[in-house]
Amino acid sequence: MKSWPPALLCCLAACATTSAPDVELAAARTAIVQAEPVAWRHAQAELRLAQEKLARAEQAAAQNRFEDARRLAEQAEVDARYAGALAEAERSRSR
Amino acid sequence: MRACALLVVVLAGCAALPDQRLEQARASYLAAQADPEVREHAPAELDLARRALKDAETASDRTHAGYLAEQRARIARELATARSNDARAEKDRVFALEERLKQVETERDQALARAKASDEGRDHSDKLAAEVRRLQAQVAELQAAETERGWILTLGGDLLFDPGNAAIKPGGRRALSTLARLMREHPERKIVVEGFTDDRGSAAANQRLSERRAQAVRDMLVKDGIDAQRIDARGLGASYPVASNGDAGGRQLNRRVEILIGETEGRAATGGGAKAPDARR
Repeated sequence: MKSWPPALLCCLAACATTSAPDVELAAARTAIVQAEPVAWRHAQAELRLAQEKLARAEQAAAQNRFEDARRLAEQAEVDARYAGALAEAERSRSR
Repeated sequence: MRACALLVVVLAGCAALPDQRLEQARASYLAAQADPEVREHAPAELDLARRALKDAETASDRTHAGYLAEQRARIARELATARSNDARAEKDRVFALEERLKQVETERDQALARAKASDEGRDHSDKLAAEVRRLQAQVAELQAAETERGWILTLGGDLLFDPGNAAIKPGGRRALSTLARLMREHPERKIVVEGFTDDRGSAAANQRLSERRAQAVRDMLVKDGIDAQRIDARGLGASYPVASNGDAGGRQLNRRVEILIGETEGRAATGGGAKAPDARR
């Protein structure tokens, strides 16, 4: 079967994540801190989503669910950046 | 049990089925990439979105990677909007400043023009004042010409009159008002006003013109408050030239009014009559 080797690689890659995603968590925290000053006002819902995902990522990491933690942290980072960008756009419209 | 869970993950992550999230990410990226505003204002973020999408195409978890890619595209989109609006606001601000600058420059030019105009006005009155001083000096200088018959003041005919006319010009009026002031300061003195012409035209016409001019000077002085009794006026036509009538400059000197100022009361009034050219000056 031709589809086995990539499937196998996927399996190996998924199983290889055995350490806590410290870098991803740090990136998410930084993105949230950066977005907060504008986003708390103009993109509250988006900011809250990022904060919730970061909290869930930290929880997952604490429970050694590292793959979940990494994904949630990555999403928290882009969500925070999106909240920041959305807030900037809103601010630029309102002035 | 654990192996079973892993198998489920593998199936979910590696399924080659088209992923809805990935489709959305592609659409979002293509839309952002097609937007000149995004290309201009968020090229770095657009590149991040492109790389995230590329990763998502081969990722084990396309839903997750697709989500990341889509968010990256939306970040590029929103930041481009923000920066574009900021740039426009900045441009507006600069434009408003430039407009204000133009307005201030116009006001400044107008103020300068007004200042210049008032300078010109001042220049004009300065010129008038200088003219007055010049005429006053002329009167004072001519006053110093002493003759046997007393003081003699010569006023150029061109200063007092227009050619062929016996009406006194403004410049002559000023000179005569100075003379009137002098006469008020020396009420004991009498004067004789004598009009002369150049030799152009008939003798009779010159005689009449010189009489009318002498009379005009007398009238002007009387109007200035001088007792008519203190002034004699007569015309002497082209006689007693003080310069050659052969050239324009000489004729200009001959067209004149002489005012003889008696040193003591009555002397000038009796000094007229038979005059000899050598008795003058």
